Amino acid sequence: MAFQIADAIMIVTVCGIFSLPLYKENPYYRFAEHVFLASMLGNYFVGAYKYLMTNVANPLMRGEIAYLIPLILGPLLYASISKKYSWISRISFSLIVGLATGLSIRGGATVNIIANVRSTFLALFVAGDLLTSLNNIIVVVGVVTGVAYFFMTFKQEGITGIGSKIGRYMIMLALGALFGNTIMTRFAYLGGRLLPILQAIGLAK
Amino acid sequence: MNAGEKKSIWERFETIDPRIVRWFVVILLCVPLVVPLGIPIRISEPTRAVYEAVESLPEGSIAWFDIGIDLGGIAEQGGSAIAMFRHLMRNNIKAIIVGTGQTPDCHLVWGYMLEQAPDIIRDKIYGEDYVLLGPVPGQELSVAALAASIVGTVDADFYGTPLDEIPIMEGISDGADIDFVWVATAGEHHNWYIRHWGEVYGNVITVAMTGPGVGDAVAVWQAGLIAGLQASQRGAAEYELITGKPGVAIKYMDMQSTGQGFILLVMILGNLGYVIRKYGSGEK
Repeated sequence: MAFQIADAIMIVTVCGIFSLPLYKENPYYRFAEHVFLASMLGNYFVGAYKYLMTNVANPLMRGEIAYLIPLILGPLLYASISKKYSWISRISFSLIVGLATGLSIRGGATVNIIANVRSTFLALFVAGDLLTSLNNIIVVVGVVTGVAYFFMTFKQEGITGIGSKIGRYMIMLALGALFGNTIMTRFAYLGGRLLPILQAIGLAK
Repeated sequence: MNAGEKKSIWERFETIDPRIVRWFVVILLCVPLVVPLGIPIRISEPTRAVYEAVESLPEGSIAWFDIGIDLGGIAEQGGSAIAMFRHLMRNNIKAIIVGTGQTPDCHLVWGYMLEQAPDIIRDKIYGEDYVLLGPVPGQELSVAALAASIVGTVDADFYGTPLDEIPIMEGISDGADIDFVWVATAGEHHNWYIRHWGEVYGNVITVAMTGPGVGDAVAVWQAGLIAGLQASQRGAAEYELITGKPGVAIKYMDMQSTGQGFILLVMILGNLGYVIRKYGSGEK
């Protein structure tokens, strides 16, 4: 694959961003950072403009005047930057918050609580399947002791103390898994920049 | 410790300049990208469940393809997106591409997909087999609005063609007309689809999730609220493997294994050093 101008731009900007963690704060990093921010904001602006033109301006042209409501409420959000008129922005904000709250309540209990609790009602012993039995026991013990850890009504000692301690270890295990997954994401991001560079200079396929 | 006193190897290890570690990681990750190691990949149950969910769809079904990630997420989930789209097209399932993510990047990710794998739309006709609606801002509000009325939320496709002039959109008005939902997310998208699509219309939902959200998504999958899960870059590589077309994600797997192995080694050494210093010096 021929080396292209786009590859050169990519290498220059990526190396600029990498120069901060691999070396120290420097003008080259600042340049790359500003290029990134500017291109991202440009993309946001074009995206918003295009969406407005397609999905708000077009229906308005057809005479669907209901679309005037979001067209008015949207700019009102920017009143928040004025001390004198910031109260106006609350009209739009309250609508957004109200709608978002109402929508998140819808099905929230089913999704976030009931289904998750139901999924922990597992058979502790599955005939002929030792691994599944072990897995189910770990899930049930993990859930019960994990919840016990946050039970603060009375002093945790004796059997509740043991349960709470096991719960703490279970939570630590879960956090360990979360950490591992997070590392995977960070490596994915890093690799996602390294591979194109290696491909551009012909070191990788 | 007094000035001039010789540091032990463990003390020096604990105070090592982080930049040395970062350089080491960068170089270490480059090695398997240049010289692939071919470490085998096992297909996990959640990924297999995604594959089976797609396989169970009849030809002509309508898939909702939500690229809810931004351009930065392509290294992790681009492989999932490409493999999934290829699988849908191969099974003659029609796809509506949309992006309800925080950033209006779905068309850029779509461009990346076509650049990386132009074959995914080979012999397919735009408007008949797939359509790009583009970014729809609003996050959960837009997901709920789309469930209630797709044509009421989006007026035209990404290129400005009115939806009523696009053959694939004929007869599609709300979430009830969608058979399968695939969503790539770095956060809460799957919960929005479960709440406003799955719970209301019973759509089959599968998720491609970034690493930090995998724990939550696995719980949701085990609860039966989603049909399957492509977990991070590994899920992407597994999906490439199961669909028989190794791609970009598999290239990263050796790198992931090497990098994770290094982190594990550093953690073991760090803890070992701590224990030796604490108990070796008689400190309690």
